[in-house]
Amino acid sequence: MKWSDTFVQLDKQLHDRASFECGEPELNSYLQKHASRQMSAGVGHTLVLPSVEVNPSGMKNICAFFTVAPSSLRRNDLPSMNAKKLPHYPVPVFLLAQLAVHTECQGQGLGKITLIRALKHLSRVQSVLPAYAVIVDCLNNSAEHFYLRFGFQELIGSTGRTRLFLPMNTVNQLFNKG
Amino acid sequence: MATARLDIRLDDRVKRKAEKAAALLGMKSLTEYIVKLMDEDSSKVISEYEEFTLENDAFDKFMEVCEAAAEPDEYLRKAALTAKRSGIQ
Repeated sequence: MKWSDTFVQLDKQLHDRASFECGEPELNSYLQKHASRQMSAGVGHTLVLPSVEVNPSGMKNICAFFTVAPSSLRRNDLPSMNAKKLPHYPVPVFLLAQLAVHTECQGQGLGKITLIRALKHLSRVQSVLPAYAVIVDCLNNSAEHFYLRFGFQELIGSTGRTRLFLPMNTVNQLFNKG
Repeated sequence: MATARLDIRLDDRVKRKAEKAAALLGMKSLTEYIVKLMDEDSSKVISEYEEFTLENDAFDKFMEVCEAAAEPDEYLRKAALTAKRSGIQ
């Protein structure tokens, strides 16, 4: 499957969500059932890398996709009298909620390119919507290993899945230095 | 306040159960009960999705790392170069 050269906003008329298969049911199902609806509701923005060829259903296959959403991180304020003295802190962050590559396109470095493309997208968004960091929730160990290599650090104290973050300051340096 | 309508098709058994619950809570109608549930639950879902809470220590550590502005490590810089060469926008 040959991929095109531009990530574009998911469009369910043009992009075949049903044929997407990345080997991880949760990510397939997100793209198939939730991505489009979340975008209409304004809670998550999905960009896809379409294939060059049109498939038999008349649409383009999705070679890779990512979803980002604005989010915030709150300091667990003391529920006492002290609380009034402390600044109230929900700080803005980005959530890299989903990222996946079609099985037919795996093993060719496309995951890496998709991550960089997602970070670049966030770096642009940040000029109008400042954020401290990009946060990812790791679905499994191999996802965790993938992000750790790029310098993501563990967000301590989060429960459930391993949650990692990369400061936006670091992301901006990556693109500003060319 | 602007109002909107919502038609719901539901299982008869669920409807009778909900009417009973609404009555027990002293609600005037099933509508009042459903609107209250929707309002409360959607606020909860939205805040869970859009907001994380960290204990103070973890939060302060997070802010410290963000403000330290570490340079991208070599692997990340190489990946950015690979992405640039791929020509994918």
